Amino acid sequence: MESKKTIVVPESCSDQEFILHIYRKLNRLMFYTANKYTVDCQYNEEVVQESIRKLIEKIPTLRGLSDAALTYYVVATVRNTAINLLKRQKRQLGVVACIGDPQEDDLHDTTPSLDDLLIMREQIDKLKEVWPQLDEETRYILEGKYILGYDNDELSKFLDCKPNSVRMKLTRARRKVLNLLKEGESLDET
Amino acid sequence: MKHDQLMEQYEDTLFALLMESIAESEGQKELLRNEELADSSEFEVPDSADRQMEEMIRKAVEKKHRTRKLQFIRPAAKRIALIAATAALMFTVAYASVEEFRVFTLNTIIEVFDSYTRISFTGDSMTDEYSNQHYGITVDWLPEHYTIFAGWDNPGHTFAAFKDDVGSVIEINVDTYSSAIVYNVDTEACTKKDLTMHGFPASIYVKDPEVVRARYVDNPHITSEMTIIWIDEINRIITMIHATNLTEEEMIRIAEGIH
Repeated sequence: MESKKTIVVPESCSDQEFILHIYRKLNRLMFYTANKYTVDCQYNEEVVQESIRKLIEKIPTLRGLSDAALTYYVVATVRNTAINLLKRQKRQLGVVACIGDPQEDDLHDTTPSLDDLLIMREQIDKLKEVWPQLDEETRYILEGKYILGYDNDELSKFLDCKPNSVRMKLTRARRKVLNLLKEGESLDET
Repeated sequence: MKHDQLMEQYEDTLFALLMESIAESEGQKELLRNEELADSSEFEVPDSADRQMEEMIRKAVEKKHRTRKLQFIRPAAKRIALIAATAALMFTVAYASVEEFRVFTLNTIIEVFDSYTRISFTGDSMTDEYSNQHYGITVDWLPEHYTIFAGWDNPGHTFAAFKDDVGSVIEINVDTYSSAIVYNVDTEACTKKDLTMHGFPASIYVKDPEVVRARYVDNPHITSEMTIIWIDEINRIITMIHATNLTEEEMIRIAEGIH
């Protein structure tokens, strides 16, 4: 049995070998991640299958990632797929809660200054700490945009909002991160 | 550009960079979790699910490769009738005595006759899943001055034909094979060479130049004719390339560039 402790994909392998290799290394993690959203085995298999299809479309991107980034990409893909499938199911049942489109006004008072952004750049390690504290929707948006590379049209489908609203939702998500960082900063000072 | 826009761009770029570090740090945690899961007997993926996923991966990657760049075939679909006749002529010729019988694989039978080679398949019949597939083909390389003049992509069968100014042709067939189909390939007066193509056993048949001259007496520009065939036993696909006026090296280069 192959070790699961590293991914290490041979550079010269075919696309098929590449994806098979990733699946064999991370299959438990993929099912584990899907399982967080439902314990329905059939649903989990559907999530993993759909995730693999998405990963196949991103092979050139995946080939350039480190083990850790690749693993995170796979997990984020499974998580994103699971959430989307759940949303779809709920929508079919008519029980999805519509997340309101943010208004421009919501953002006016929270525009970060250049200083804020510079501070944030210096706080990469802090960001790693606050990341788990972020609500799921914020992580979902930021992962979709910056890790999975979705454009605003794709994000709007996943977020059930108009494409024009994605920009504002992203801004709001970034501000949440910034605010958490600033809160952490204040606590450190006291 | 307005200050606000510049700030938003800066914020966006900064976040992209920050998220790289998040991917690394969170990825390390996920790697550790993966190790724990691998060492634990509590979260095992059933073998049946693994088999199903791996089969799905094989098919999905194959399908992705085969559906690339099909557009170049579609515009010429109106000329199907003409090419259908050409293809039939190319692959169906007269009978003669059996010279050699060889089992290529469990399901593939190649019979070499005096003037042609018959390729047929025995065993289980095709499932709809295979026979209904649209493959499409990508040709990475063709010699200069060839342009497509016919082709189609039907379920289980893709065909493309190219020609140059003097009437040289390159015809490419990609078919799902089944026990219901027999291919009769013109191998009369041919020299056969075995090679490997895309990991599968392949054969190239080079027609005797004298026979070529006699066959193409109306077109003295045609001086060579050859056919290359290989069978992808995993996906049940037979690929045949027939061409005139190419060298063996050019034939092989075309074959290697077909996906």
